[in-house]
Amino acid sequence: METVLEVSNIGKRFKNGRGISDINFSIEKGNVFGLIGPNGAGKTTLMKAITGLLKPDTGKVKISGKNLEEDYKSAIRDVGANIGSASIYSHLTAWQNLKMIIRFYPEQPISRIDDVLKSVGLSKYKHDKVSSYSMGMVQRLGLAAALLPKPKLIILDEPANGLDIDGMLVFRNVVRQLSDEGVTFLISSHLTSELDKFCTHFGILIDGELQCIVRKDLFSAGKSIEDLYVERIGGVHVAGIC
Amino acid sequence: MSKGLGVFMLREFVSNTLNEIDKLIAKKSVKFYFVLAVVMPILIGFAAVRIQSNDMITLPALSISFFIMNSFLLVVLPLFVFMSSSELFAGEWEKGSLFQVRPVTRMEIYLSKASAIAVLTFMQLVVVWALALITSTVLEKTIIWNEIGSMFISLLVSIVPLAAIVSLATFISQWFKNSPASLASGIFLYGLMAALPFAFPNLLHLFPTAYMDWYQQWLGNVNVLWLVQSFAYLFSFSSLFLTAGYYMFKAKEL
Repeated sequence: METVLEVSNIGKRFKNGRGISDINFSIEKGNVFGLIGPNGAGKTTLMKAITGLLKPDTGKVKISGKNLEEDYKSAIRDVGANIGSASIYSHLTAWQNLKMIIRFYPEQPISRIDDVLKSVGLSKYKHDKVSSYSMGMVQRLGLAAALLPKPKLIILDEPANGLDIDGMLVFRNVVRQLSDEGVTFLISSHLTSELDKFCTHFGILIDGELQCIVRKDLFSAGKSIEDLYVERIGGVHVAGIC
Repeated sequence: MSKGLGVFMLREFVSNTLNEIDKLIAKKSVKFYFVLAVVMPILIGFAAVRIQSNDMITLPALSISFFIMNSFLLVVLPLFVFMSSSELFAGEWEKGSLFQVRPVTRMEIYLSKASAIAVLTFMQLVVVWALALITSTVLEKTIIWNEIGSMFISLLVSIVPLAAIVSLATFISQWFKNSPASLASGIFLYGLMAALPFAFPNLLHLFPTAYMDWYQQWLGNVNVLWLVQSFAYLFSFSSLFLTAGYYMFKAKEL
């Protein structure tokens, strides 16, 4: 199996003492890796370190075998991401936002913008300024931005926040369809029930440390990731799972 | 610097420059500056003719079009540069959109932001230049071919002191995490550099503000040595602040 993302010994400590330390994991092609943990656990910090938005104190990241630090452009070309508000400008329209992204991927035709906007249900609003969008619509646009370059690895930080039922369905379908096609996902969320529906693997991050990684298919019958998470938060180890 | 971050590619640089220009021209404040570049030459031209015809004041040796160019070079365009730089650096850092997950290095981002500001500033200068010429031609009811040539030279060489101001503005913006503070500091510093030589004349040529009307040195009797010296100074100033600004920019984290 091809390893798409390899994270080795990643650590980052902020002045306030918070951060992440000694994170190790890898994700194989086509897997959907759910990163769960309470607020402030370090999920976003880890994702930023993986995508080069911040420089880790220790460790290295490899994307499709390419070292992020040594070969940044080549490594990041395979990544689509929506982390915080990093990819969206509110004074521009959805179409203008995506046009700015597609300029870096000359292999993608301009018609790709309309395709991804259609796939997330934003075609009708493509010429509206993002400042007039609801939070759910901004999330959909963030997903469209991540899909645009047809990446091998998609990294989404709390993508379900603010989504309505229709948005949740769109998001779920996109993840399922693309993972079937071999696209790999790293998704962070504190909505464990949502991740439970499509993730193949889970990592539980607490206080900046990756407590465990677990495969969904090894769960006991009737056991959900939420059960595991609650038990982990409570300091109880679940035998046979983690 | 790592190998990956050190690779500078023209394609990504051009793509990001276009992106930065798109971001800027979508802003109302930038549109306002372009409207100003269209309206002000006409208004100043009419006002100057009216003042002269009433014998209220005699304009300096400069013709109306040079007077208009000077107004923009000394006041309006530096303001535009500080505003744009504050938006593209401090403003985006505040909003968390300064860096993105794209195949573009930080050096390309930094240089393309500075280039976008320079391009838009120069575009305004071209608009002002064209309208100043048209206005003076209409008002003076004659085409002064000599003036067209000299104004074209002034247009081209004005980019040198403006580039120094762009470098300074990008450097200042690295110190702030919100655009109003960055803009206010830039304007204050520019004002200070313009005012200090009145109290301390020896300082005059140490600040780029003294070179904003640099183009005038290219007209009439050209002092080659002075031009070389001032060009070397402006080039060094630009390089120094561009490098220092990039050093700070590179170390930023979202």
